[in-house]
Amino acid sequence: MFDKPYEFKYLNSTTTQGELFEKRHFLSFRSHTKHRYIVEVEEYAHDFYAIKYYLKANAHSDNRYNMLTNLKQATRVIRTCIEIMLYFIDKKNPWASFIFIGAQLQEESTKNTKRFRVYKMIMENFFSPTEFDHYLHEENSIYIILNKLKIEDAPNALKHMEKMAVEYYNIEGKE
Amino acid sequence: MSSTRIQLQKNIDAAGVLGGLLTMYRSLKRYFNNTLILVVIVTLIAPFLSLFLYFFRKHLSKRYAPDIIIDKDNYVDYRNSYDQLSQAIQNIDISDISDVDIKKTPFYLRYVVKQFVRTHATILHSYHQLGMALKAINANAPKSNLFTLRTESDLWKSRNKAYEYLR
Repeated sequence: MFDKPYEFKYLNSTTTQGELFEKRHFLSFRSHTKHRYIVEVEEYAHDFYAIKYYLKANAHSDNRYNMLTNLKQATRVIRTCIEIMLYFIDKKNPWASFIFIGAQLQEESTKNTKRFRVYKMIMENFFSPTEFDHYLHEENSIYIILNKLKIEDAPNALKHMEKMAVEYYNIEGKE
Repeated sequence: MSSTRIQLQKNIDAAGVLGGLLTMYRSLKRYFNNTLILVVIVTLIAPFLSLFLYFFRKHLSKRYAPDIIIDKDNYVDYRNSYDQLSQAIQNIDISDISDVDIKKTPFYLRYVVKQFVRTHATILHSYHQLGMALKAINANAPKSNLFTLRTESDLWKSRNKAYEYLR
């Protein structure tokens, strides 16, 4: 499981205005069934990144990120996204940290969603605690891996992500 | 393999030896229900056992490496050592020996018991030291009022050991 990624290519990036993130990177890959996927990597302040992907065929749908493809290739697609994370750390930004929001399926609440459980499982299996601090917010299905290099450089980086989560996602703190 | 790692392996092996000796002692005690026979056997074995435990403990403490620096390359090795050591220590429950007042132990067994307890303490010390080094992984993690930090121990327990870390 999760051992065979697809070959991906970096397409381009666009700077954004009026969005939470500062830049959006586009990458793509083709599955063994010849389906093309688009991966969007959103670049936030303080070297935070979020990865989203969708089937190119659904590119014009508003629900493109949440649509189930039923193509039975999720493990390889997810592994490809992990490779994309590694590509960003190795080639673009060694201080990169990542945030994941496990969007709920139709019958789910926002707490501990199926996608969140998958992201959590992937992060704990592939990203060592010696390199990243792992944080979660189960109520809202958010998982963060915070790059330890970034902590040395900017110890308040997580605070900025907290502030953003509170302001834009209406998440309440523990206190 | 680093010298610290070799030393930890020695501690794991030493815990195995202590566990073996303890099992042997308890089995003999059960087998020879007659206390007199047990005393005779222990009296014959005790001098050799004392000598063995003395050198064994000296050897174990002599090459003690105090600094454990955990990084991404050695983390899995150290973590596995910690789990093995934890299991080995659980297997040598010496509560019935360590609680004994050594002064009240028969003189021919006193030295054996003392060496045994000391060796056990040396193993425990390295177990705690490794535990501290593992806890230090999270020492500089920023505190958050919103997000819950997952500790090294929590992450290790949750993960599937068949996977290798990619970063």
